[in-house]
Amino acid sequence: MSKLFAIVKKELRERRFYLLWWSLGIAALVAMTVLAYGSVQGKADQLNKAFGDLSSSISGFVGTSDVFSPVGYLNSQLFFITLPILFIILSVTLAGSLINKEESRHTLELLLSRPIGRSHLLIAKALAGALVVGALGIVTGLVTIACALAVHIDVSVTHLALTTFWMTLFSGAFGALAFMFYAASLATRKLAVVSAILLSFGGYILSSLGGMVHGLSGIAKFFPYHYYDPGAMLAGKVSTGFIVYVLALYAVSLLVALAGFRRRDIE
Amino acid sequence: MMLNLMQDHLLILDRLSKKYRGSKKYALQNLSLRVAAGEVYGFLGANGAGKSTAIRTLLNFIQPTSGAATILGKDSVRDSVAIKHDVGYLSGDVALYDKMTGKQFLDYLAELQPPKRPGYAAELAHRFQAQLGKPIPELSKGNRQKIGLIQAFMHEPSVIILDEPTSGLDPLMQEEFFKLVSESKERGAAMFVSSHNFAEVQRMCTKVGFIREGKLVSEQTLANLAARASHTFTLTFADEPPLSELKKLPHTTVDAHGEHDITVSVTGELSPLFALLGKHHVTRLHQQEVNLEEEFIKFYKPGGHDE
Repeated sequence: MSKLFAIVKKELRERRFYLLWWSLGIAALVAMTVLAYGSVQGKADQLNKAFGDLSSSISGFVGTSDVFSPVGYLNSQLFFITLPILFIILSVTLAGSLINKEESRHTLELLLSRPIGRSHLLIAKALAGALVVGALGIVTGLVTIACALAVHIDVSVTHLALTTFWMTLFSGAFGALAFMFYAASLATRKLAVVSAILLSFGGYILSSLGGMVHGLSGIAKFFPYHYYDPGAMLAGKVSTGFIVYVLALYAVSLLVALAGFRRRDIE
Repeated sequence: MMLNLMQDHLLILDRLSKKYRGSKKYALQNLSLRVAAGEVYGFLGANGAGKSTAIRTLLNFIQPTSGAATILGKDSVRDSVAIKHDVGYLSGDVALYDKMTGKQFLDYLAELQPPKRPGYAAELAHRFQAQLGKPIPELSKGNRQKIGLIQAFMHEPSVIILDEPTSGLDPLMQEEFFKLVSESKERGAAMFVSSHNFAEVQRMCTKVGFIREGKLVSEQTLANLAARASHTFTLTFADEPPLSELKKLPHTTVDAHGEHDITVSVTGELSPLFALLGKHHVTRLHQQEVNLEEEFIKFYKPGGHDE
């Protein structure tokens, strides 16, 4: 266990500035977005009516036709696409640096020349990645709650905290997928980023267009984004399908990564 | 700690083969060799001959296609983790973490593989005059190599696998490295060294294996190779050197000659040369150190010696 923690500690130490800059950037974005709600507060019905007159395709892409109520605003401006995009980019690049960068720089050989099992190494790397994404999730949640309280947004603190948690878990799942592709085999390594992007943003586009284009909603059901509904989460509802899908993504990713990495050649 | 199993082979490769996915050729084919405790085995071959593949297979970075390797009596694949408690490794292109200083790097590795003697890494750093306080990106190639050597030796392993160990080291540090190799030999460690530096191999190895196109083409003790190598003498005569008589001697070539001096190289039996010298007034005889470079190169060439 001490070796596992030594690896986790080293990974976190190396990424402390990376995490700091990401935290500052996301905190600034969240603060500006949430605090700006003060300017639309009280005009929600009027603005929603105007927005409702626009094409339904626009509401599809922001995830709701209710853009100016407290829940609708936080959903459309932060939780539906903006924060997931940032968290997915962070998770996927992090997955690459945890395995791929170490392998291409040949420091992975250095670690594997020590008495550490490949599974332990992979678990330590995954744990370090999860802690970085988790820490950013906590920062995001705290800033969101603080700013929401400051402008008196009528959404419960618990729902805000849980929505941030589910958003972080959902976005991190694409990092887990990329991690799996990087770790499982030399052949799948090249597919890591493309696959994670296709599954995440491809799923977002399909889910957004699903209401308008016949047949797409059926395909969208295969993608995680279809099950991600931050509007409902902000209102305190989380579908079992979403939880099962996301947890299954993590479990499958970790198991495939472990099975592949234990046997594969190191480049 | 002195190993008791001085005669035991700590490293055994048994018909080890490796074929990379998508490749039609074997990178390593039926490679068999043994390295005993207290032995330094030089592993030589041209670029792409299969040296790195052999080392990477031994350390379980890549899986063998067939055959097996055992280190300290344990299977290199199945018991990979257990083996590495007592293995030191230096890669050809020393890979270090750029965001660390040398000290942080060695401390990190010590956490992953605690040294047998806590102060030994510092002792090695002192001997190699390693700049441990500097960030790694600021270190020269030689200083990076020193850190690479320290991490390979700091836990006093019983099996040490080194790829181009003196690359970038200045002559003083090379000398320190040879001392360290000698100490490791004395305590019974088995060393497997891949190198293109013939002087280094001649200096520290007890046995050499030559690999070409993934196959071990020859294995020789250094003593054998030295016996086969040509011996070069510079002879000074009181009168004119007997050039024509020297040229007629079997397996003898005249490399250079002057008014009183002549340099000859003899391969094999030396008696004919000395019989001839007995008939002349020789004022000085100097034997140059045996240089095995020519012998080594014979095995490098395609279609060279196969034994």
